[in-house]
Amino acid sequence: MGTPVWAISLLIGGAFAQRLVADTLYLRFYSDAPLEKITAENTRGVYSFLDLATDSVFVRIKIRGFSFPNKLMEEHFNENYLESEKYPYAYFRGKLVAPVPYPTPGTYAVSAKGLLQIHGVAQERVLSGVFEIQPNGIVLLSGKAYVKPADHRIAIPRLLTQKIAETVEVTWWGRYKPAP
Amino acid sequence: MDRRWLPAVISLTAILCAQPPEEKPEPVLATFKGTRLYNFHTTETAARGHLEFRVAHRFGDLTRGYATFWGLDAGAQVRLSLDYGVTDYLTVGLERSGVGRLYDAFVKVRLLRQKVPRGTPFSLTYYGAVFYSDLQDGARYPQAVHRFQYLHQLLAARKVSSRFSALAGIAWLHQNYALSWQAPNDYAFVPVIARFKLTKRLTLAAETALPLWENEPQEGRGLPDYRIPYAVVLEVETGGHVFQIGLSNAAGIAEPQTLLTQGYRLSLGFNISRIFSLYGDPSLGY
Repeated sequence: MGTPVWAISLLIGGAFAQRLVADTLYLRFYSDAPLEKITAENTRGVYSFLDLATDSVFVRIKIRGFSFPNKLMEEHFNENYLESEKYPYAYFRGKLVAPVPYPTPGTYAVSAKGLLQIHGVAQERVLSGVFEIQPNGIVLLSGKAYVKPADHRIAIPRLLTQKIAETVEVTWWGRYKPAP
Repeated sequence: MDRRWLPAVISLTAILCAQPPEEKPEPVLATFKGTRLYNFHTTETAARGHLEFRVAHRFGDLTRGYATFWGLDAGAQVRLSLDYGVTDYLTVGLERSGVGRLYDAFVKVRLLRQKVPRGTPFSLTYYGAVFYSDLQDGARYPQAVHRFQYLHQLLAARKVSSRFSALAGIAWLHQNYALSWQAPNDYAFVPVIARFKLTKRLTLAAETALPLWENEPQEGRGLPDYRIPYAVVLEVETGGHVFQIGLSNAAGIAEPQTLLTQGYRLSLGFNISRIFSLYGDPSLGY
């Protein structure tokens, strides 16, 4: 009786030991429409961790964290499109398609399958990126994905379709460290 | 407690402790769509490095109906404004109003910003302006110093919900040269604004300025036929521009004129504002 409990606990504890938490994460949003090219950066509102025992990935993005060079656009992004008062965060919850051989140093192509939730609407997605394990156990993760606002019930008035792209490019770069 | 479960409890506690960091309050966005409603200022200021250009038009009295095509034939009074955000907390502006050849320079300082989802419950902004009349009428102003007027306002606003915002404040107007021999030099008001968002891009709003000064024209003090100014405004947002179409009983176009409205009229007017970011604005192609 006692042995399984210890085994489960060690497993959970072990899983926790292999949790990598991002200490730096940068996200960029780029919309390329005929009349306007819009870029926004998010450097202060992203929280993410990887759990290598269960291969799970968690990302939480604060919508208010996106900073636009034009503050009126930032206001419209929050007020009219993403509705950040109602939906303050976007999430990705997924699992790595294939496990990574952490902590063996090297560069690996990874993909994760899961739910991408933006504007309160979840879509199943497979996101790909590059996973670089450094000899000191730090992991650098970068990647790119394309998001269609329409998939997440973000309506763009027809008058503005020349200014906001149908598909938005999202690029990210993060540094993950083993959780203490 | 059964000792056998202790390690499980420890692991579980460790996992619970690794929850995402606590959410930090953020300054509320867009309590009002613009730095002014119709005639009066809101608590909003220009963002750092942003330039706001605004054109205001006021038509003639519409109560005369078709005779003047509801005031549109009378020709419009025009006011041009340029605001610049030195920082997110400090805006400086220059304005020129056609009525009375009035120039003014103002500062707006954000003293408090409402925070969401918790924190500071309201926004507080100070507004201070100097008005100078360039009227080419030597008899109207005996000395140059008489051409100056000053307006100070302390405005408090709260975005109550994503649709409804309200503002109340206190305003003090000083005129170096009174409007008449029986009019005072100092006036105090309580500006009040309420706005309701009908849709994401359409807003219905109203403004007024309630008098705190005593008006006793029958005793020979104050302004004869003084009226409390009000306006009802429809705001339409089209990407880079905000259009404000209003119906108001206010006289003139600049604050010292609208605050001291005399006589009855009702007129249509509109404001158009355009905001430019001086640090890389994709709409300007750089």
